[in-house]
Amino acid sequence: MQKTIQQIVETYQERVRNTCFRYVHSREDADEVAQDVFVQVHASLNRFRKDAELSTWIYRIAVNKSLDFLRYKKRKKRFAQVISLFGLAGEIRNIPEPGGGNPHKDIEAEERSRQLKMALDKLPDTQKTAVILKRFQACKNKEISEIMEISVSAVEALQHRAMKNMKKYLTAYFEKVL
Amino acid sequence: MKKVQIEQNVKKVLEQFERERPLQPDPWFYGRLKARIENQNKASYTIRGVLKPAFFALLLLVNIVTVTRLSVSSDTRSAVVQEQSGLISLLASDLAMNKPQRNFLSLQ
Repeated sequence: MQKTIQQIVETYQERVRNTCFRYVHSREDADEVAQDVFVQVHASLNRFRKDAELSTWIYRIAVNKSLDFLRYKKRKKRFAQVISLFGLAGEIRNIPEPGGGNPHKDIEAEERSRQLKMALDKLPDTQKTAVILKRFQACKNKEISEIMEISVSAVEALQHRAMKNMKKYLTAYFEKVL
Repeated sequence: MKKVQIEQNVKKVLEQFERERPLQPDPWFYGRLKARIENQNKASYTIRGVLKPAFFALLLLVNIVTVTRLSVSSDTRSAVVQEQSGLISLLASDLAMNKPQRNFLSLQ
């Protein structure tokens, strides 16, 4: 029996919101992207292939929508920079920096969280996705390979390279800071 | 000394993966989504109910205008052709081209 959109939202809402949050780092943006995800799920539910896992399909939409959102934000930022060169900076509202929505009380932990996000943002999209799904969503590599439509060994390679790149970036960062 | 400190810091940052907290559940999420989907449906009904008939009416009008113009232009063209053939026959009769001509170059 086909699930209704309400049942789907109830089941996957938290997973989708959290996946989006790991990309966009802001609760408001994550909610907006998650809404986009479910609007698309609602629109194309009839076309959903039954041979694929529903969760895999929803995760794939969530990853694509999050990456689209980041690209859109980057374009908007670049456009704002160009506009500011022509002295029209006041006319465009600055995009708020990500950071809200994480209830850390410990300043040190908050700083580490910020550094982690910074390192994650430096990764290419594929490496970022492989790491986010594994480390934050606790997905198995088999599931990640289905979401990303690549082989399991490719997922493992992406995760390995991602961790290596993050270590490299953080080392360079601390060399400057310390 | 500095190298060790850097390594420790990097390690601590990467350990943060396990400590990151998930977002708090949002009880209004489905309500907002439902409102958004309903608004989209309303918009698509407007497109289907008003814009589609208007588009087809416009398409029909364009077709009628094109057919009318084509038939008018074919009438004009046939009149021009008739006029041209009349002129040619007039010129031909002037030059007496419909009569057998003598070849002035052949002196025989």
